[in-house]
Amino acid sequence: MIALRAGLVLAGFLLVWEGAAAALDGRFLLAGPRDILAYGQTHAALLGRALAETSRAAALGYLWGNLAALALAAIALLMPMSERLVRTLALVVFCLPLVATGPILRVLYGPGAGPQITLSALSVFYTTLIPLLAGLRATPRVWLDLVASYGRGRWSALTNVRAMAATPYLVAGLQIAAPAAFLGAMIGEFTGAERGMGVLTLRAMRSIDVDATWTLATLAAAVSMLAYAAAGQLGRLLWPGAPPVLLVAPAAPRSAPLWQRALQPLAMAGITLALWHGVMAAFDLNRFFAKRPADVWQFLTTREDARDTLLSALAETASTVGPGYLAGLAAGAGLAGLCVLLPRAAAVVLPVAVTLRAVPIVTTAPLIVLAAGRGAGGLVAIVAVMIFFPTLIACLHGLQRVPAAIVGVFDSYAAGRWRMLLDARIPSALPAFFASARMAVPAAVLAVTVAEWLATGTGTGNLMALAASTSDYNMLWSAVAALTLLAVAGHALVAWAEVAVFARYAPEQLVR
Amino acid sequence: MGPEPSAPVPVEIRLTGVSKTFTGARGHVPVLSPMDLTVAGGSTLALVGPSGCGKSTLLRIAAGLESSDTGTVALGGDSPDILRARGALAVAFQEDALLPWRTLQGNVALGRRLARLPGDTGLVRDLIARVGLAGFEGHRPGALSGGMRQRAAIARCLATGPQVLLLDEPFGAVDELTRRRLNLDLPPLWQQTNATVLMVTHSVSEAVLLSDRVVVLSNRPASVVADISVALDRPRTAKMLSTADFRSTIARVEQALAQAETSALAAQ
Repeated sequence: MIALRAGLVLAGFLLVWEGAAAALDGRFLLAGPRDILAYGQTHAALLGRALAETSRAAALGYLWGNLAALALAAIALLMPMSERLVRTLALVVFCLPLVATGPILRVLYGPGAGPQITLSALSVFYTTLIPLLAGLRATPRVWLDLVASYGRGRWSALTNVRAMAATPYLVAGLQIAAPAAFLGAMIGEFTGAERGMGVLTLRAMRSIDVDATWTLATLAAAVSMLAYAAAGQLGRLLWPGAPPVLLVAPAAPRSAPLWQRALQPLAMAGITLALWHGVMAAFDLNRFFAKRPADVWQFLTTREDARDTLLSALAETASTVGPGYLAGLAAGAGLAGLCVLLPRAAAVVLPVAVTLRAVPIVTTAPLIVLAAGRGAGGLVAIVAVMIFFPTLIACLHGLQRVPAAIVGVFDSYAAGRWRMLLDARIPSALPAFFASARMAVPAAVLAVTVAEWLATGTGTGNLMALAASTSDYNMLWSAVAALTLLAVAGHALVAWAEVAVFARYAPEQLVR
Repeated sequence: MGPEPSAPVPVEIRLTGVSKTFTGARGHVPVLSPMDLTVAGGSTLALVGPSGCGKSTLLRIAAGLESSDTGTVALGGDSPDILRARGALAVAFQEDALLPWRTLQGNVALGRRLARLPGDTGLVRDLIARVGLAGFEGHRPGALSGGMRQRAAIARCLATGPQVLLLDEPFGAVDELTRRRLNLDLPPLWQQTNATVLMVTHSVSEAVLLSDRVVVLSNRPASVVADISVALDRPRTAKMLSTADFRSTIARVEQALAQAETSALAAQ
């Protein structure tokens, strides 16, 4: 029955698509399913080789990125003192704009799959780390007491209780990471790889080969969806039966003295700069392309023209990131609410959402800009499309996690779905919403810079692409530092809002 | 390695001058006045008192899960940490704390695993049968009723053959009929092992039926209001519930409780 319904939805979707392609023929760059099939048949061998190449890089990146996330989460948990540092460094690394890190990695690695795998790993580790940390923190207090009552420590609590309790959160992270890994590998291939989907996409876009672009986008989407489904299936294997409801025991919030809270960001910034310098010095990287913090500082303080160029590009980028970010969050949270209110709607919304998210931003960006125009509207739409999907998945997860006893209380008063949504589901989804809102900040910056680079030729994205092509590494590193700072600042703003909301609605979530 | 589940040496529980004050956003909340409490080796002591008076805190201090501000806890001369590390202490919590991804058998076996004792499938299955859950070994907690889950939690406690058993309202979440049934079925299992038992309960009849002594605590900050001996033979049976001794003991405990609550109201 379910297979039949899914088949009908797919058939309807393909029909609408084919119809739209026929109706818009010549006026809009849209290829229909038949065009895609024809292109695929003609170039099957080429596509097969490219897909295998990109899939291999994405799979390796997915593996390394998620292993890094698991290791970092374990370190943060076993050494609570280190959690803030782990989170900050992970955030800084995740906020590095791929558009700029790609070319830098290519120079570092030379030819081969290194940049693809690294970028793929960089795109996934943070989206796994954050839900995992949230899951590890959400373990009921009584389970930890049980472990402590046998005189066992943090390691035993981690292996016996926390690891399994965090599994649903880990699975949510792994699912979100699956399409991101593929996207990361494709962006890596843009930096001068010899083979792969990214190389073919770049070629197709440059020659405005509509059929090729749509075939590549469809293939990438299909692979991403398969990976997404496989990650979900893995979760069901790891945790047979229905996912249990995990109640969080309330505990007193821990407060640090004001001077400590004020000093922490400064200390984190200092450690980050020291690491930046230290790693480059330790590996003795060529100063021509591997700029140290001091080089960037000198460049920006002595070259007024360069500083002005960077600042105006940043202003341009920031003006589209904000609205796009808010629109994406609203769309994701709104659709999740709709799926809960109208369970039948979920059957349509989810496949479409997965598809939209799975189509790599590098292929959708030019198409969306074509549809929505070269102005801010197109960029806002791209950012929104990029971030609404993780928000939707996280919110849906949160909205459905209301404990059965609470659902029972509402049912006993015959409270409607709206009442349940407002008074039970939304409060229980707040942690998931904020986790996704934090993750969406760097994703929004990535989306807008990719679109600026590939489609509109404006803002910091374009500036970085220009700097990379002219080997202006001073400007490239300055842009990387400025964008990272922008993303970290945006992240801090969301974290501040999260603390303010939780202090009122869910104080137990504030305990690290 | 801890002792095997057959008749451990009775261990005395001795709390001396134990006090506790919680510090939170609303200032200091004194929970326990400096208090002495001794439970003779192999006996059962029940703590009763008004809601929120600090009974569970006292139990957690005895388990070493919470530190006291003053005073000492000695379990047979050792600290709670040493007993916990030896796997000689077990706690049954208010919630059953069964892990939802483990089967019933897996949850009972978890007690031995956490206590670093070798796995013993025979013992685990035997305990499951003795708490009346034979045939449910492969079920997950989600498929069990509240009473069955509490039986499983007690079986997990007994799987290590603890010398000290701390029960924090273990039957508080089940209905009265189930509670009565568990009150009669389960205590013989831990009494056979010579474990020293400190339990917290809200039910006066449960306190009297299960224990050798009932200690009544005052409202917060808790202090001992009455220490009442229970002169009923062992094993306790359903018939005892209607004896004069049982009823008179209950009356004395209830009277002490009423006094504790009146003095608390007067203090407010």
